[in-house]
Amino acid sequence: MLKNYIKIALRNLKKHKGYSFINISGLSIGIGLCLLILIFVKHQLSYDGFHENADRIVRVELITEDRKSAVTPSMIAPTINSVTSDIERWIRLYDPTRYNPVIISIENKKFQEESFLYADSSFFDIFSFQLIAGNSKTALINPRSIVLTESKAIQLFGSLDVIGKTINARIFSQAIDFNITGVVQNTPSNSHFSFDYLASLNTRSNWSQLSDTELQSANFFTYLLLNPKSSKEMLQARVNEFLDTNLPEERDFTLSFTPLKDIYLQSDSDSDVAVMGNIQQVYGFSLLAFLILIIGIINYINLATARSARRGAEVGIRKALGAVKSQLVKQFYGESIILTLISIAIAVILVEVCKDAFFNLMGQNIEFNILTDLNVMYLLIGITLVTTLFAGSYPALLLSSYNPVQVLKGLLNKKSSGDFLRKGLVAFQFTISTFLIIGTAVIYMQTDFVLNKSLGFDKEEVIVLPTNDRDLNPKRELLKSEILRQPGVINATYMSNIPGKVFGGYQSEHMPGTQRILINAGAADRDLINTLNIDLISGNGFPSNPNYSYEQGYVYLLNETLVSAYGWTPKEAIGKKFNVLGNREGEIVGVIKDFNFASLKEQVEPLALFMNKNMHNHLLVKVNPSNIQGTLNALENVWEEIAPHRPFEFLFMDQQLDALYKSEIETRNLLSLFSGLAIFIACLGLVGLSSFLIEKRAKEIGIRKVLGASVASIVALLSSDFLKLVGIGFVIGSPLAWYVMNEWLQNFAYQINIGVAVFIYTALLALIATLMTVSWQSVKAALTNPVDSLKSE
Amino acid sequence: MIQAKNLKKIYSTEEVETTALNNVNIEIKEGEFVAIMGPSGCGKSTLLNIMGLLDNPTSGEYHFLGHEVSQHSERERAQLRKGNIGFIFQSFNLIDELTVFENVELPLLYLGISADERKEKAEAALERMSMMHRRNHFPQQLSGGQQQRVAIARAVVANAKLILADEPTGNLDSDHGNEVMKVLAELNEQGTTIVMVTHSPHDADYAMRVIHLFDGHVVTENMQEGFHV
Repeated sequence: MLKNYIKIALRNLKKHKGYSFINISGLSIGIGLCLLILIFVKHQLSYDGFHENADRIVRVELITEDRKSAVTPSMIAPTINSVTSDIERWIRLYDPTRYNPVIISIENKKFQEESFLYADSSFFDIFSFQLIAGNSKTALINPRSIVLTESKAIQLFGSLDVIGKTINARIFSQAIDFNITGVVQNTPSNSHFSFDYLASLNTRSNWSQLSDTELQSANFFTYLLLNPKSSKEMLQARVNEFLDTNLPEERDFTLSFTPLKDIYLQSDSDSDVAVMGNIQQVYGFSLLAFLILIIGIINYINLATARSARRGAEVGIRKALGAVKSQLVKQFYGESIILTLISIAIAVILVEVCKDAFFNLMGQNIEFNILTDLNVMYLLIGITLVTTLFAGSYPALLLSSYNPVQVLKGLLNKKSSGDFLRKGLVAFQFTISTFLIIGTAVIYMQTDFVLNKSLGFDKEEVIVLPTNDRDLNPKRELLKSEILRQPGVINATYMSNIPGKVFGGYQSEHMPGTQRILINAGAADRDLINTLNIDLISGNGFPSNPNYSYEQGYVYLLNETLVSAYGWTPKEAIGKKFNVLGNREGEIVGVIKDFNFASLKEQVEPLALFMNKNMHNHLLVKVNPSNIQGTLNALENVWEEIAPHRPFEFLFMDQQLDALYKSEIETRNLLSLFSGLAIFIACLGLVGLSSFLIEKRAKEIGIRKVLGASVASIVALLSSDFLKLVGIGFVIGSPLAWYVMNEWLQNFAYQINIGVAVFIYTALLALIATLMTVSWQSVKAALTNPVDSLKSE
Repeated sequence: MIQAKNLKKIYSTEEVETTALNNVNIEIKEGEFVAIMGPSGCGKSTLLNIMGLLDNPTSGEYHFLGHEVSQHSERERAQLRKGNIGFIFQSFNLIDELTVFENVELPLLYLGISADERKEKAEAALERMSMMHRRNHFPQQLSGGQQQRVAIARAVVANAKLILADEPTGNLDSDHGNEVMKVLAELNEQGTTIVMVTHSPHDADYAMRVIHLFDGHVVTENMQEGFHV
């Protein structure tokens, strides 16, 4: 009996190739996407779970007035340790590459490195990164010890046998010789922080910050290993009590603790160690993948019910020959299981072929073997059951309940079997499609907007050279004047911080005792205004006197936002006393128009720029667009001559700024893919459905033609049914999309207006897609000679 | 074998009630060959469906092989139908996706008969209908007469005691039609009871007895003088 079911299912698939293609392609794409997203979600949820002590590790966060920060002062960990017995071990990590890349030198080779951490010696006791060579207890005990990852060791030395060798690292312009004491496995992709180099923190024992008592210098990631008997809540209570009793009144901060496994998806802290995940995104993508699977399942249900008249005859015969209902139910479920299994096989192949490109599109680096993972097995079994149940139930239960007398007489054709359900499902498919099209369009428009919006300064053709290096310090003016002599160079300015990266957070005051304002501040030189083309609204700007030095008193350029925060007009501000706390008294010499020095997700914040040549950490070079490569070569030659100890590194400012929207661009790419696939599957379904329904109406079309209907009127009649459904989908989907996308736009301080155009274009797109899929079948039907369709009845 | 008493069948839609059968009394004995005739819409097919246990009467009694079945559920009717009744349709109703052999084998499958026995019986039935040479063909590859012979093979494969034929020659030309009627007559000679609905007086001549229906009533029952063999 089973053999008979399988046989007839396979023959059915083979005989109705178009039908099978629509079903299998829709289901396999849906299942494939679900698998890919499952792998993604699983990876996201697995962050930091590989640490043996994962459940006992918390990270300390510093909450001040208006922000929560992932970095804390160095004294926090030892202090907590001394006042509670809740913690067993503690560790601080310090990441010097947040400010400047580290330059590693081996013999004559130099490498610019971005993944370098300092760590206390307890590192390997707390975290479960496995050492391949070296002793985990002692690797980080001595100053100037360093542990390399496997791949770094291979890259630098071509072997793992590196213990005892020396490498030189230039960190903040200080060159230090490190002794290699261990090789560690590469950090897994599901670790919320990663490193290529791990150096002993006590290398910096003479560094004042290590015995710090001030909150301003919060620079350390602090992790605590809790006692097995303690908990995060107990620790929090103990710490709060300590802070309340020992730091009353003037205290303006609290500490909070995030469990290790929650850091990646749930951390909302500033200054985090790396770009963190987003739980909303995980939910969103899962939902979308599931919706696409639903669209595929709907195709199956719709085509199966549309074909029910045809299959009904078979049911009638089988019943007349002695089949009972349960046997037919089994037969139809069997068919949908077979179809699902074929789709799953294709989906698995698709996933294997596409996974790297797909994860790349998501900006993820996930290694995964789909065939050996138990969770994938469970998911596949789950998908088989769900698809079979959803897709197979309607036909199985409906068809098997047919009365054989009616189906044998062909009465089913006259009844509208499942008509309402089918229409509802098609409308639902197009609701999802409308939603996805509008969502994609809005994300496209917004990313386009933020990438091209005028920021209030020129970001194009600006090359940034990192110049924070002690040995380069005395030669900075020489470097700048040499660079300005190159033919392609238009202008150049030094800045301590560059737009798109964090400016330092400071407090400022007008007169001692006046209200303090939290501002962004940094240094620049007198060429800033001309190089970046920033508008000077009032005042003369930085002094042009080449002998000016900050020792003569600070000079300040303030942006409009800061000036109005003090309640001044740009004119009034000029000449006023101003002080960025930390012994920098001076006066305001200019007010500049607001420019977006940070992401467009934020409003322009107060900004003060001053002159201090010790903070010339970056040289911004404005070049002529006509021969950028030639100019770069010239810059490199200048660099080689003046700073041969450092590799020539540069970045383009516009790329640096565009990188602020990496996650939006990834979301956009993925959503484009999803909506494209959704529309493709929905239209495929429409092709199948329309051909069946038009076939069913052949007689009606014949009669209408005999009575004088034109081809055009018949095409209109047949297409309008589907257009109505697509229209309903649009009417439901577009307000939904409008609402959700408006919420999303709230992430940006500068947003587009969604506008009517998107909706009009979406409606047009849906209209054209529907007409293209439905009309050729309608035309075919309308052109049929009525004699053929009428005699077949 | 069959006893119908005061059979009534009413089809009702939202607005109209149609009486398809009204107080029909019929008795058919084992080994008979009965033709049912009458104009379109007189209730022939309805009567056949009730006799074939595909449908229940609205009221009245229906005895089949000694069981009163007029109130049986679909499941009970299906159980009784299996193996006892074979159907032959005007439009053959073979399953397109199955081969000739598989179509013939199907009723045995639903009876739960073993594969070896199914093969033996289906081949015997096909042999009897001279269709063995076409056993691996699909229905569309056969002529109408051949398809109907396959359908007859399917009707007899489980040794059904009763064969119900609904205009078996309706879709065939006269040569093929005669061929099919001869096969039916042969089956009847070998002991199978046959009830056939037909429009054709020629086909009705093969039967022993003709029942005329008109507007749901039995109007006449004629014994045939003698019949073709």
